[in-house]
Amino acid sequence: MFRSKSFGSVPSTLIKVSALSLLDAVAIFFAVLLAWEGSWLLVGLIAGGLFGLNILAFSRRLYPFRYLAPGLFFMILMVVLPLVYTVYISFTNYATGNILSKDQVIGLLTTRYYLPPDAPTFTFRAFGEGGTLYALYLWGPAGEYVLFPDGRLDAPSLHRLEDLDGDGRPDLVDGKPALSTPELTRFVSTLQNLAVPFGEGVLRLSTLSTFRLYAPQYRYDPATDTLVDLRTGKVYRAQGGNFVAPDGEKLDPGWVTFVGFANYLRFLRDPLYHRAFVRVFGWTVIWAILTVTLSFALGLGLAILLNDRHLRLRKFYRSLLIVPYAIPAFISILIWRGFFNVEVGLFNQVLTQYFGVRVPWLTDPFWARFACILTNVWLTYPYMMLVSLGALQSIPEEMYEAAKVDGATGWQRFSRITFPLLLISVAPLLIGSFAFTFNNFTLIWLLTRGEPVVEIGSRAGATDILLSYAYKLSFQGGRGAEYNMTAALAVVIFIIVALISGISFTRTKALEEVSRGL
Amino acid sequence: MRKLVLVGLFLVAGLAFAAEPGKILIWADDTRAPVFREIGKAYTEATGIPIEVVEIGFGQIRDQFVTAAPTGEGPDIIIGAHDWVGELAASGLLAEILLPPELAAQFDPVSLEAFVYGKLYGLPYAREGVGLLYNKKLVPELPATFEELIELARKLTDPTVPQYGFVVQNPDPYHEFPFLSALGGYIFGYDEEGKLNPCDVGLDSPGAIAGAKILQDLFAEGLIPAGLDWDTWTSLFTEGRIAMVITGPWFVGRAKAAGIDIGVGPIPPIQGKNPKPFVGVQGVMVSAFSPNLPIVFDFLFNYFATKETMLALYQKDPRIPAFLPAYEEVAEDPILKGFAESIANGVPMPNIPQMSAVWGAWYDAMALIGNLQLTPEEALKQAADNIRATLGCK
Repeated sequence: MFRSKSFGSVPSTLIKVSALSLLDAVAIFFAVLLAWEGSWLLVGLIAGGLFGLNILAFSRRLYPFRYLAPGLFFMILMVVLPLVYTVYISFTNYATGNILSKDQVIGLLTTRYYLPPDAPTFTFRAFGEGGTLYALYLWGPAGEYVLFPDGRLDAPSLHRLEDLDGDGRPDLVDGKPALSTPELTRFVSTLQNLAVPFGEGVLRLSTLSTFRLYAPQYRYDPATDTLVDLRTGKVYRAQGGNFVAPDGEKLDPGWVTFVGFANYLRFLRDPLYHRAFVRVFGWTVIWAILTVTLSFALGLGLAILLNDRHLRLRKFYRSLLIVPYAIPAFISILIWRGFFNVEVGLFNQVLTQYFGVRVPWLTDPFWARFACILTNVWLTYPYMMLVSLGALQSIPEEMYEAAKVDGATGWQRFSRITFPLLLISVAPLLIGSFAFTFNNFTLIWLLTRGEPVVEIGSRAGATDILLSYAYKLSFQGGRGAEYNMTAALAVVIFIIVALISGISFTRTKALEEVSRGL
Repeated sequence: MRKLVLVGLFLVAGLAFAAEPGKILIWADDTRAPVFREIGKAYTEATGIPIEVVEIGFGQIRDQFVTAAPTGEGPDIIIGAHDWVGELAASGLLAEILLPPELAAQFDPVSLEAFVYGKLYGLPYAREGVGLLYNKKLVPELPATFEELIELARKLTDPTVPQYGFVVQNPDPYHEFPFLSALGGYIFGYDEEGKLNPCDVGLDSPGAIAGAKILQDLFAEGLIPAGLDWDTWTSLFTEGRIAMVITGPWFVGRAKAAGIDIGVGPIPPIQGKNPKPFVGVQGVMVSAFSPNLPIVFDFLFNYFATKETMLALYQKDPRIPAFLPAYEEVAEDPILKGFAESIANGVPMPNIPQMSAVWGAWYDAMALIGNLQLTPEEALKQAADNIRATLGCK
């Protein structure tokens, strides 16, 4: 059989070539469609991608890239593009009420019509035969016309009008007879879609026997970039994504426009957003630090206990203590939510029965935060314990023996040997945990939904962390979706998390130790 | 992407689903479609005019109608909820219904009012709202006034058990609205054309504040626990630990399943004035782009607005009929009657899209009133100002 070094076997080459040409054909088909619509950016992307793909498939020099390309492609698609887009949105006013382009908005507004009280009225008679509509004959104080279903408006003199019964109105137009009203109803939808430019406005069907002249409500002046309300004479100036009147009235809808750092500055200046941001940011940091510290302390304590050879049933305790880690968080968080129930929850039942107190878990800001931390410590200490157990076992026994010989106390042994050596391997994990807790949307959302409410209309509750606040900004609340504010907040979160990761990579030499140990 | 698929589906569907002259096309969801097929058959037999019923998910009817109607590809009639009216009518998509007065008198007035946006844009068939649901074992007879109700509730309440005499889910603007409305509070006022005016926010009107004060006193006294959510009170009620609660027909099945002997009645008058719960109404609306308006109205007035049709709808969807002859037929059911009496005092839930701007701030205000952090004046004033700012009012 014929074999070529560069192309492989004949069948595989055939399959490759035919699959590729099919793909090319489909891509070219879509590229042409897109070019037709004028989406040149997408056409460029498709052309570039296609070109690259074909080169990859046939070039032997780029052979290794065949394995890298899919990964790169998906990284760009799923990481880089969303990131770039988020940053882009954070500098615009993209939110409910501002999602169209300016051209679309002008198009929408200048095709809005209204019926002036003194609008000229045309009575009409429809003509046609054989189940088709040929033309309408319109008459009224503003003149007489022949109107065709395609919107063409002719002077009557261009057509043959015959008045058979002498009532002054034609009974035949170009030889076609008049339609009865029931026949006409079949064409109502056609007639309703007619908007025939006439004078200042458009002619539209008003009732089953009349057309009226609808006047455009707005006129756009490209030179001054203003919109005039022809009804009231009010002038609206294009300003920051909306047409705005001198008295501050804004026309809906608005368009998407760049606003610079306005969204970011709003978190500093607009009191409602500023207070919410400060509160949420403060709580997010406290929440992340406290949870990680407490959970690490608990996990480490238990690990030291379990590491003690004198302890009996160690394996049993260890298995038992890992249980919280083994139950899916979705389930255990909801169970905890039940425990915290003020009326029927386990905690309050016990507290009421034995101590006579009722704690307003989840409705009081302090206790709701307490509940969040308690729950998360419970969920995460087994992880800390496992990590610490592993790290403890890597500390050489001789060091302790040497310390004993030198007369070190138990505390000294812990603080001088165990803890520093432990931290080498655990510190990067702690920082990772911190970053994860910082964005632990699941726990907050399932346990409290960010509540209780702190301030009316701010959307940030007492236990909202930055991520849940961002979620609420984009999908909940009165003003609809504030994608711009969400994007700005997301960029801030990204920067914070990037900083945390940066520190964990550069400042702790511990990482090298870990990688050496691996 | 989802949108693209929807549009694609819709385009395919649109070819078959468009209204055509001489035929009535109805969009209804899966519960209502069979009933309309049934009465459609009767109408076709009588008049020879075919009726086609297309089944579309309730949640999608409005969205698809908005895109389809202006292009002439929509149906003649849609079945939906009254709070669609403001948006659809403001966009010019609905045809006014000129209801003959003798027919109008047969509809429940509150339900009919729900479909008014300056003019009448729909015919109701079912209505629902909250009433006072009580455990007959604990409350043999409903108190005549709210003051007596509170007296009774004090005797029955012992949070350490826990047992409660009277509760309302909170923070929950929908269920707490009867308190605000009893003394004259409202959400949006009407303009001179009879449309709701989104800039006339009545959440901080004196009546609303006075009503919220009464509610807050109940929280302060510990009579109603603050932060009582649906899961908690429903489980307490089914254990027989709650005597009276403000809730709607959706809870009846669960209470009965738990073996509780329940009764329902209107919420008793507060300071001699009736609390007005929100009323939600289901009904039919007519497309302004229908090429068949005369036939459509003939169908609606003579075949839809009849006792038989309304009873058939009730069988499929057992909500309180809005058509009074049909209601009288089923009013022997004391629970249905109790809810009907309660919402006869009610007001329609505002049918304008601006309502969505109200819920968030209102919820916040009710939460802070509930846990006593703000006085009703402060909370409702802040909420109303926030809503006005959101809606761009001065």
